[in-house]
Amino acid sequence: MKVTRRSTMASFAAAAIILSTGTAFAQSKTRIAALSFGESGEYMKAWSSEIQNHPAVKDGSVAVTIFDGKYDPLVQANQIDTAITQKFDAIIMSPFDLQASAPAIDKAVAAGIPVIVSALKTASKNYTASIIVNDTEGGRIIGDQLGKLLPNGGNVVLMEGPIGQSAQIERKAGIDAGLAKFPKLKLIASKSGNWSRAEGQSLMENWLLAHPGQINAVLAENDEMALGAIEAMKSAKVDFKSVPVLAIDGIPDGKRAVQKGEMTVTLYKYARAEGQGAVDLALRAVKGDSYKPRSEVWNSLMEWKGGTQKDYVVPWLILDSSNVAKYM
Amino acid sequence: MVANAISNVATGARSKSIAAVGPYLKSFSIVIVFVVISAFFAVANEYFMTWLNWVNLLRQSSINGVLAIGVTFVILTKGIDLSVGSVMALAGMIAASLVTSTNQHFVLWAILAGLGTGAALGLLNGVIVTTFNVPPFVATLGMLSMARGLTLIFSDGRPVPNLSESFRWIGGGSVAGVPVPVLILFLVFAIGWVVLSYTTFGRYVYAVGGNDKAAKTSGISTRTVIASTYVISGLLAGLAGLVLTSRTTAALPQAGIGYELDAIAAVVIGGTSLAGGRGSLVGTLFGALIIGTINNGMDLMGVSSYYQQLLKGAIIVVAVMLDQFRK
Repeated sequence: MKVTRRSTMASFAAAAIILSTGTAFAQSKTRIAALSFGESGEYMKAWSSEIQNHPAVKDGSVAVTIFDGKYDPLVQANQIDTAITQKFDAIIMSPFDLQASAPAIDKAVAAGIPVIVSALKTASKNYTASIIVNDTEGGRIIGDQLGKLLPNGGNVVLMEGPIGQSAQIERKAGIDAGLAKFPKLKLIASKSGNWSRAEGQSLMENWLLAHPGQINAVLAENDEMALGAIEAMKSAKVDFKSVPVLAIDGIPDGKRAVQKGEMTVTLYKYARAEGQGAVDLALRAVKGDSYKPRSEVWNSLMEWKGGTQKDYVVPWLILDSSNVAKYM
Repeated sequence: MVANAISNVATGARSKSIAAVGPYLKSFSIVIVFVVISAFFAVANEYFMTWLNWVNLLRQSSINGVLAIGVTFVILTKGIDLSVGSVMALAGMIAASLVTSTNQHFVLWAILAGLGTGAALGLLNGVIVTTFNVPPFVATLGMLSMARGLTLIFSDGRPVPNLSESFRWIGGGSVAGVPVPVLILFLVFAIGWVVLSYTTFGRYVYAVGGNDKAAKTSGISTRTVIASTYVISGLLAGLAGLVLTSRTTAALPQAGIGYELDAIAAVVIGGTSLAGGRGSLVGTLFGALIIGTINNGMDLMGVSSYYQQLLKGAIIVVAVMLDQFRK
């Protein structure tokens, strides 16, 4: 008996905590479910806060619920089921996996809920609209920038994302295309650092031992790995400011490194464009023709085109020491 | 004669901590916790009590439930199985590779290959633990890494998509409105419950976990019993891998990372003692349902995932604290 009362009390205590953190919602509002693929990552966290800062969310006419996909396609599939049950008006999804996200998206669309795909691609063909940067283009740009930085050529090392992920495949294809225009640049080593700063660091340590004094430039498919490479060069007492480091994503640490002159170029993936742009596309799908987009990203960065296009491409911003301060 | 002695050992081990009505009271208290949590979410969110949401909730709990049932067997013998998340990934990957558009076999072969992979790795765990006396924590921690490595080698780090329609039925189909994964969970639970409660092997499992030496002296081959529990855990991890792969409609090399922790949490919340010899599958089933309910209910309410993690951890600790009071 005593045990029962204790367990009941514990449950109520737990319940009280939930209640105090839970968000109430009103039925009249437009309700949007935003499925982030992983809230513990820096970019996704920025993406979901941009969504919550959308003017329509701020003024209370739209209620957004953020779901954390925890880097697990199954969790995201479960969350789509939940969003369907809860009768959300629209879903914004950043699919963790290209293939595994497809059946879940098809299911939501079949249930009559518009799905806006943001930040990462899906293999599904049935989504309502997508708003994503062009990863191939990003790869091409850093390849191109490097060619301009080293007109006399040199030896390049490349750090890749997890082999097989859509961003890795496309960024690599772009880098290959970019480097192809500069035959004097020689790729002497390339390996996956799994987007990780720690792995990038040990990769670079090994390369510095294997190719002493021969590495003239570092390309990384994301900022984290590039930051690891910079750390490795610092501790190996390499004159790292003479070795250009080029990467993609423009995370805050990456931008700080550009500002300090440690990283040469990073491509800024504008979380506001992918996040708030997706909110406008979702509202356009829910409210129809009369809807006018409210995020500032449509003013200069991208064209709205009536909000009815299937795929919107978010442009990359090239950040170097000359303009990085504007985006800090 | 031997069987009699064993049954004495088994009841002896159990009666130390629980009175005759103990098992009923125990599974009852976990049910009460489950009902209270559900009642709370039912009041807090209008969608929680819908039939559709309960179908979702059960389906969402099925993979963890199947894993947790396997792990319960191991924990009852005072062991631990940390490898189930990786084993399920490998089993799912191997099964999936047999039912793609370019490599089409009968679904039955894929299922058998997946279950066989799980059982084989489980057997390896069992042999390493019993024959080579490697502590279960270390043996299965090694397997966690080895099975993940094999998955990456086998798949070359790439997902295996385009699985056949019939294979996708395992995770996505339903019979009379009940999703197949839920049916699988209940079937596994029913079989496991009969095995643990009514068979000689079940009594051996409790006996070995309750008092290893006494069990040995009464003639039980403790090695065989312990090794068998790892085979069961591996087999069920293989089964869970089939369901997972089928549900995500692609085998992913990174699938199932961290699932072992949720499975162990379900077992612990369900009142099974990590010291072995005490616990039940009813507890484990409700442990898995409680974890599923908390995830589902807090998602419905839009609670930030940061708070969800905090709360889940707190509930695990509170569950074990209650277990201590009970003793």
